[in-house]
Amino acid sequence: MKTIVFSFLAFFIFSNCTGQEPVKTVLQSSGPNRIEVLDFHNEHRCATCLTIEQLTKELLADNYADAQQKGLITFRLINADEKANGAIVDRYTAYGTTLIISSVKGGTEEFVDLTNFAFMNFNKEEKFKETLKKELDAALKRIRS
Amino acid sequence: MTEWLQELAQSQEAPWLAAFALGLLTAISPCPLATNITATAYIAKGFQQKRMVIWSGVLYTLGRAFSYVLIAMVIYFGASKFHIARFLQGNGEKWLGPLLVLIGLVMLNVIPLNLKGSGFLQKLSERVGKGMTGAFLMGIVFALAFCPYSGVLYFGMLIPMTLAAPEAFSIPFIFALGTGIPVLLFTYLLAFSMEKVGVWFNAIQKVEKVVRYVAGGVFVLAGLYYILIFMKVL
Repeated sequence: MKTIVFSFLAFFIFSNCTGQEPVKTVLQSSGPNRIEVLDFHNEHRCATCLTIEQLTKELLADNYADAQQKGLITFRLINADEKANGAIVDRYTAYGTTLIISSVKGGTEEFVDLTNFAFMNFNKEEKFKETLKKELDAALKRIRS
Repeated sequence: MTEWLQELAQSQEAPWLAAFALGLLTAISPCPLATNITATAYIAKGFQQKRMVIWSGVLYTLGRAFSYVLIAMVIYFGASKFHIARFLQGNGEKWLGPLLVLIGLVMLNVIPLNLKGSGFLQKLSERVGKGMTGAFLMGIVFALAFCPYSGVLYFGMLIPMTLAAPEAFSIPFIFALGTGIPVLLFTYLLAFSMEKVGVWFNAIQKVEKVVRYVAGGVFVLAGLYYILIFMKVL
C-alpha cells in the first residue's frame, strides 16, 4: 500500500513540464525600428487587467520617458472586442487581456507574450516591473544593435 | 495564500499540482467566486439530507470537470483555442446574469413555474429541483462563464499544460477539482451548521424555508452582479 501511495506521489510531483515560459514569436513587419507595448483587453475590464495596465504605464513613465519621446517605445491599449481591431487581435492571437512586447528591426518583428506572467504577478509590483524592464531592455538592445 | 498558490500554479515540475493550484485560484477569482457562492447556496438548501448535500457538491464539481475536459478535448483534437476562448469570454456574462436572475425569481416564487401536464419538461424540472441533477447541470453551465482572469488561467495556462502533458485530460479534471473543492467544503459546513440551528430551535421546517429564500436571493444577486459587469457599471 505504501509503495502505491509513494508511486502516486512521485508521479504527481515529478511529471513533465508545464510550458509556462513566455514564447518568443518572429514575424515579418514593415516600418522603422521600434518597440510596441501592446495591452489588449476585453470590453469588460477586470480589476487585475486594470492593475496590469497601471503597472506597465508606471514602469514606462519612470524608466523609458526618453525612449517614448523619441518614438522608440510606444504603449497601445487595444480593445480586443472591437471589430476594427480584428487584424491586430488575430496577429497576436489576443483572445482577451493580453500583454505583448514587440520589437521591430529591419523588417523582422519579435514579440514576447507576457500575459501569463502578468496575471501571476500583478500583485507583486517589484517582480512585475523588474521582469517587464528586463524584457524592454532586451528589446531596446535588439533594435539598437 | 494567493501568492503561494500563484507560485505553485507556475510549477514546471508538477503539472497536476499546478493544475490544482490554478483551479483553486480560479475558484476564488471574482466571476467563478460568484458562481461558486450561488452553487453553494443552491446545494446547501437541501441541508436536511447531509448525504445529498455531499453528493450534490461532488456532482457540481463533476459538472465543471465535464465542461473543462470537453473544451480541452475539442482544442486537443484541433479546434482553435483562440476562437473558443474569444467566444466563451465574450459571451459569459451576457447570458449567465439573466439566467441566474430568472432561476432566482423561480426559487423565490416570484415567477411561478407551472409545468403540470407537460410531460418531459415536468420530469426535467422535478429532477433539476431535487438537487443532484441540478447541481451537475449547474457545474456544466457555470464552468462555461469565463471572465478575463479565469480565461487566462484556463486558456493561457491550463490548456498549454494539457497539450504538453502525456496524461493530458487528467489535467483539466484536476483543475476542475480545484475549482469545486471550496464549494464542497462550504456546502457541508453550511448544511451542518444549519441543521444544528434547526435542531436547537426545533424548527427545521422554518429554517428550510428561510434557506430556500436565501438561496433564491443569492441567485438574483449573483445574476445582477453579472448584469452590472456586462453593463460596465462594475
